[in-house]
Amino acid sequence: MSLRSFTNLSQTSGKRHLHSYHSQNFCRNQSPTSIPKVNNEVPGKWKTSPCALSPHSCMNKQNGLCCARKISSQNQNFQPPPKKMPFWKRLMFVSGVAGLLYYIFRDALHKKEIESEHTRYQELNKAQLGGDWTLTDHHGNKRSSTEFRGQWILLYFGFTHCPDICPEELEKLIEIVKMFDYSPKLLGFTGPEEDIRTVCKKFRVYFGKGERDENNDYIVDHTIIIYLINPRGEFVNYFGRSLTADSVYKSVAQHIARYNELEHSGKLDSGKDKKI
Amino acid sequence: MPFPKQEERKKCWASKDAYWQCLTDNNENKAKCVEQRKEYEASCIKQWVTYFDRRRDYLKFKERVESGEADEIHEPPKSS
Repeated sequence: MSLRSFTNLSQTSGKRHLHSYHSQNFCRNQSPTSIPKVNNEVPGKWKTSPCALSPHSCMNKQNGLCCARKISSQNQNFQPPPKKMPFWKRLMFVSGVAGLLYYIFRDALHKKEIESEHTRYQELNKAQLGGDWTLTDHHGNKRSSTEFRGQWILLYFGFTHCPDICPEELEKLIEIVKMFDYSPKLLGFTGPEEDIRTVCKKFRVYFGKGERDENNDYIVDHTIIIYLINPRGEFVNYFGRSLTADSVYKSVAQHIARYNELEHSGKLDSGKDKKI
Repeated sequence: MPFPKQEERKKCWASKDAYWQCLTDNNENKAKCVEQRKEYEASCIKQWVTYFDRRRDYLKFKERVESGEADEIHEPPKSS
């Protein structure tokens, strides 16, 4: 306990019972004439002594006591300690305090999470990643990303006939959606190379066509990322290959919960215009 | 062979893994893994067989470079 805090305590508390540290044992060895100074280098038993608080400390010389703190001028006699609360009462009190502290902590943490999510949206808006696009789905219909407003989207970029990574990542995608208890609605999109290039640029996805081999086949090197898009069509987060379906699910669930809270409190309608 | 569905894809990868395991166990001796090779070629489409073979060569080459046995500048990875 620092000495300073102890001083504050004495100033704020009114009348206090002389407690055991004021007892005769504590201060007996001090010379009545010396005025102990606040000095940690002086060794000895009264290093932690509250007696070293003020110059007043040695003014009261009674019963060999040097260190009666001048808290109350009447209370010079040593009083018996207050009666202790029964165990269960103390336990309840401590539990109550602990519960309250825990609740306050959790509440503060939650507020911080929501606030950081709000900041995330503001920062991401500046980055302008993502946006709206138009491509052809695997049924041959031209679709715009605006059709998916109101839904959360997990977006993955790959290429057809991809031998090893894409099948894994797509299966991971489906697994993640299943964890949300939705039946997976996987849609494939394609289009002319120019349109693909446009969408990839919006999502900062790299892709590079490999050389054609003797079978006229080629590999396409590409960024391996799953993007999370919210019901407003905004980019929220991305997930790399190293993450499992479970960890992605947890993260997405968090984003959904925070989004709902932010939307409910109107924080997302800050009048920002997204230019694509 | 039409493009593999999920089950076929899994079968292909399993046979590829078995073949690669055989190669590892027999110190890259292809003669000892003829059966696995047949199974692997039957389960996977041609494009993937080519891809996985090349991938194996590359991974093996990479191992050698990392252990200091091969010089990547003077000995480019061989393509099958």
